Amino acid sequence: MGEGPRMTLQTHAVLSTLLREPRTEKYGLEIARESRLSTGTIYPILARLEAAGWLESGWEDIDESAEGRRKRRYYRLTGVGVREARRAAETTRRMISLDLAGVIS
Amino acid sequence: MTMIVTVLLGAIGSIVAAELLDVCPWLTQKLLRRAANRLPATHRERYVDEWQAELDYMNTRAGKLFRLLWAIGVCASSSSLAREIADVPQINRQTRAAPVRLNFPRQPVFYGGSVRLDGVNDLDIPTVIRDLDDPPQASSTPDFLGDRGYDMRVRGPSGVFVFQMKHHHRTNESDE
Repeated sequence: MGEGPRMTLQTHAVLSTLLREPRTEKYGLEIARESRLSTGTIYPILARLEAAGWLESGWEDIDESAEGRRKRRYYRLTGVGVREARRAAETTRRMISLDLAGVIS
Repeated sequence: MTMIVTVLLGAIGSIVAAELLDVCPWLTQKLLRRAANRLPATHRERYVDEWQAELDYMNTRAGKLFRLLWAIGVCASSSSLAREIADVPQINRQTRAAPVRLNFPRQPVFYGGSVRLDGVNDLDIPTVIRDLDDPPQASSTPDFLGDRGYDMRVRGPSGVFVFQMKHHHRTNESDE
């Protein structure tokens, strides 16, 4: 992959949520709720991660009239996304550890 | 006298609150429309559908005021979402600067398969979001590649096709 997506705390929160169950598809509200982010924040992050190829999304396969609601859009980490998200989490964890070590010592 | 004023104010307050609450669904829809209008035209329908589906879900679980607050959040972040969508990756800037030949699969309607950009990269899993009666030539040159590699417009015999790309990869890199 080329340059990865811009990583913010909110991006990390979204990735952590998705990494808990990497093969499970989740919709926007669900991701927002589990990440403890406002839904307004979530869509730009999902768009960024999708643009980077870390996420893929697709419409729910339901009969709308039978269910009485519209199809939701579901998001899931791609293979690259799982790998890169883990790497990003590890990098951040290491950076925080180093910072903390500097503060403590 | 004071009691009458208190009762009157309470009644008026209740009426005003009820009226405001009735306006919430209309305002929610208005905010979502405004948010969608800030997005590139090719992405509006997708996000409107996505947001309306979320709203359907919330209709059964959340009150009017909560849904309005959610719509305010969506509207507030829509400019940021538009920027993310419009953030064209480097590979497409290169492609736009030097247009390359595009080889289409030979199906009359493009609901899957892959599109090859000779000498640059492969764009996988194209999904037609708007297709016309006649497909473009099997080999054609894109007149525009934009929107982070997701949208590609190609001039065909009967007009402009718009493709939505789900992924984009360089061919020499593995996906897994």
